[in-house]
Amino acid sequence: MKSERAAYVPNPVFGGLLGICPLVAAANSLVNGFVLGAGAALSVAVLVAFLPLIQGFVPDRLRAPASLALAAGLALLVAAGVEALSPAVARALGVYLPLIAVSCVSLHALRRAPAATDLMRGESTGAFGAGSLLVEAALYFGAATFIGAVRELAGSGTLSFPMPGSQAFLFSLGDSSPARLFAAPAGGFLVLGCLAAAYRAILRARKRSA
Amino acid sequence: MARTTKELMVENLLTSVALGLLAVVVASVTLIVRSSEVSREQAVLSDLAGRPVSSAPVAGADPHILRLYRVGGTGPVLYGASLSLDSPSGVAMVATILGADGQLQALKVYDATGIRSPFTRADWFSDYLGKGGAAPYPSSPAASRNPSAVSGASESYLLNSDVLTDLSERVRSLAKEGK
Amino acid sequence: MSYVGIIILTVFGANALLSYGFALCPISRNRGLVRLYALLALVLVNALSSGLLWALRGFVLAPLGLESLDLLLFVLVAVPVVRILFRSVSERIPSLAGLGLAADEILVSSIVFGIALVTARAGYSLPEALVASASSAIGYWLAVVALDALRERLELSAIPGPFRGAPAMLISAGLMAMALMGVDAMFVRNVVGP
Repeated sequence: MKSERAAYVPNPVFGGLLGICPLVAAANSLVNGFVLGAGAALSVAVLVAFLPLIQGFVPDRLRAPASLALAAGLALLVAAGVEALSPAVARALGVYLPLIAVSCVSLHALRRAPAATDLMRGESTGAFGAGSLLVEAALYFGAATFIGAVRELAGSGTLSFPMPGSQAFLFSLGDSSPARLFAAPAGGFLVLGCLAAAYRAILRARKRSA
Repeated sequence: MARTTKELMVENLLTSVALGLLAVVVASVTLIVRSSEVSREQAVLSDLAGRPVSSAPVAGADPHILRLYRVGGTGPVLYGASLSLDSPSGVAMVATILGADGQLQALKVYDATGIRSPFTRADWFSDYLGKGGAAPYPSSPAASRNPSAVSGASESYLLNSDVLTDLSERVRSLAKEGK
Repeated sequence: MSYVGIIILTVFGANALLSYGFALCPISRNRGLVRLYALLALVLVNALSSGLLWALRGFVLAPLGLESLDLLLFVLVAVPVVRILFRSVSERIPSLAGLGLAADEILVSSIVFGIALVTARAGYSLPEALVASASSAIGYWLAVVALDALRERLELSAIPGPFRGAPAMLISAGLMAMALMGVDAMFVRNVVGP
């Protein structure tokens, strides 16, 4: 099972199934998926930047709680930022914004972030580790936004995104009756399962043709 | 080399100070965001009541009742409240004006997730207006005049009734205390 | 809501795995969660963490108007306290060493953090919060056990290649979640009373 999964790992969501908890429950619209993905990606980026500092100056025995506290602080700052932009979206996402601190994507960054010594010596593993974490964060953002878009289109029949200071972007399927199931967590499981299967099928086809 | 107790204490202290700074930064940002939210709510409530709302907010006891304000100006005693109402279709931030007896006099949705959210329909809350004082809020979709406005959202209808009942109760107790 | 209503809602309608999606990732990797020991660890860790967060929020943060900092205080206070408590218990009573290890594994995860935040922010009293968090943990464990049993069946079934493994598990979880969608606050109120 492990070697079979390794081939699917490049995308953290569809391949590695990392950080899928909020995507299943809360990413039921384009806005929600965008905000969750952006919040997680921003959190990982800041962790990658600041964790080497923590590792350089904080003793070993205090490193884990200090790193987790930093992740928690970042998640709360993301939540405050979302609340400032749209209180309704912040309430809709609820506990999933603070839970960015313990999402698998953030915990992955906490465990794999390069040490300050690696970066200071310019060792390639340090920079490579940081680079791959940032790529993972960017892929997570893309996957979260895509899942939100798919679920909103299927579950509400619209694609909408509020633009500050101007008309909101809105695409509507007209008066069709959407399948509201896809806006619920049950639909999130179904959508994610089907998208993960589609991703694997595409990778297999590419592997065969390569 | 074994660490001395003093060195360990210094390390602990420095780490605590750093985490304390982090907490101060997060608290400051949170308070700034909250004050801008309060300003926005006061503006919406002033507009709804036609009278100024500048009093400091009182926290609501229910997680859906965000903040309560006393409406200023001359005239009968009025209270304003900002609510967060959930439904399977999304969340609506609602501004309400109530009398001292808890009667819901005016209501406005000032933010909602989803442009097609049912909360944005003008008749969604029509069954609640005028209730909460002498007359109780409708407690089931069947009791509403417009069942189609709440069909498919029975749980949110129930939640709305509960939140508004709690709100009216809270306003009555505030009015009794003279706050 | 009565305690029975809270238990029914948190175990079925607002299931930690099937409605909130907490700790979804481990079910595809860790098969140790189905043991009874893991259930005991889940219930105790969740109840203790939720109780501590409820107290911190109510007595420390609410008077200062800083409820939004609950997560940070949870990480700095509640997590170390729970960890130290379980470690000292497992050191003093060697037969409970497995419990200490299980508690250590699940402590920093979305199941503990998520349940603690949800119950602390729901406006419950302390006994209600403890009951809600313990029954949420039981509901999560029941869902994991059911999905583990399904996994064994799926492994023996003729499923198309791309759906094998995690995708089939996710779809199965979705079908289970669909079955529980009817258990909402209105259903519980009709069955149990207000």
